[in-house]
Amino acid sequence: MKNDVSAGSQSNFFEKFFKLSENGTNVRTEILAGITTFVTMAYILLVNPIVLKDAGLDQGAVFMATALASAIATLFMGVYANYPFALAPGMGLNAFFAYVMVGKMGIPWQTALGAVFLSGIIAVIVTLTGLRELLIRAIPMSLKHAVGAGIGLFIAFIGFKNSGIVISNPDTFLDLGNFRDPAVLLAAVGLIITAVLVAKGVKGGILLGIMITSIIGIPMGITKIPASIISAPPSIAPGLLKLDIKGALQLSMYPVIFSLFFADLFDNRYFCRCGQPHRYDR
Amino acid sequence: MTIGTFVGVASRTGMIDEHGNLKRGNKALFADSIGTVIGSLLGTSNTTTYVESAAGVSVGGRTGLTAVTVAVLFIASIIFSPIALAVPTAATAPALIIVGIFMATSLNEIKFDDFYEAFPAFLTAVLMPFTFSISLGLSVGFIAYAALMLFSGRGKEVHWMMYVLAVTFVLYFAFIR
Repeated sequence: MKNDVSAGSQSNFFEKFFKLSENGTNVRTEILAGITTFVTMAYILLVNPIVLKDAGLDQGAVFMATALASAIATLFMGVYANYPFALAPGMGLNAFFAYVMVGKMGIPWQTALGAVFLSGIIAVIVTLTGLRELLIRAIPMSLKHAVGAGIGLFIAFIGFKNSGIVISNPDTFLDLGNFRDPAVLLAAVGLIITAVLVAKGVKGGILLGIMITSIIGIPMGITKIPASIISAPPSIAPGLLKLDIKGALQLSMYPVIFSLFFADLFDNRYFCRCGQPHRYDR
Repeated sequence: MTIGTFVGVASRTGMIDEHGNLKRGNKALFADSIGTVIGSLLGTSNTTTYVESAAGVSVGGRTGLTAVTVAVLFIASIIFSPIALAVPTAATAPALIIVGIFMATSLNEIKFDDFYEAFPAFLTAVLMPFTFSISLGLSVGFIAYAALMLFSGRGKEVHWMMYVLAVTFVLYFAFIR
């Protein structure tokens, strides 16, 4: 366990609090692991504001909410459960929120946030009472995998649709978009670039793919050059505590709350008995 | 996503007991649920545990200190908001597609040569994009599972909870939607 001399007293605290040597690790390894996980999932900071903006939320406020919710929830996981797991707003349910709840069903985003709140409360209750175990056991493994895969197909479809790679066609419902449109072309180029990075196993490949694609978008006139690299944080106020819980308690909202709770439940599949290791190792 | 990998990594590192469950699983699940509640108060959709955590575990992360490091980096990233907010939709769409591919890999776990398994699983998965709704795909798939098993004489193998869910979904389609 070689730690920096200067960090000696802190290491001692970390050692005791997180039981580092008992887990066969040390401060340096843990911090490097944290950086690795962060780089791998930081794309959510760029993707979530764009998705939830389409629900009418303020993009800057969502950026702040994403960073803070991820930080607080991950801190709680680390300090309370002592696991190396990181949390952030999930891909899939953010798209469901923006394009199904708000877009398709016309629910105001404040009410939709209320539904998210209630689905979280239900998850807390169900976890504390052990009902979660019952649900996990009742649903056949194949359907749990199917829900996960379906959410994947769903967000991929959203990606194709939002980028204009897939468009609507009155005769066939769907069609391929027009690659002479610069934005569609940029998305297609970005897809290839990101795919190469991910296939090569580059750490943070998705984040890097988004950044490179954005930079290519500058001469194409699609990406607006930011005024600065860093700045004071944008205001979180437009979305903070704006949730409408009372509105979410209407009968018509029950199926949606149930869906959120359910899909979230399946997002946690790795907490139950499941699956064999398979190919991707990011 | 890379759930299988995660379990694989986690079991190799002693985080998983002999039954395949996480040792402090309830604490982790509690933290996960609280995350959604906190997120909704701050103004974002459901917060969940990321399978990307496997990346840190694979380079040796074993304790909450890894998570605390991630949390600190999330806070630190706030100063880079101008960059984050300059990213166009065209640049994030590939991320949605590629994360979608990761999630779709769990199709591997479905035994498509067993039609009892393939039929409801296929409907669940493909109806999510085809109906443009996660919840509709899920409900139809669950009804299909209960119906297929019941009417082909294998109803006893189905957990009673699945019938409760399937009947609820049928009533929803019949009278509410």
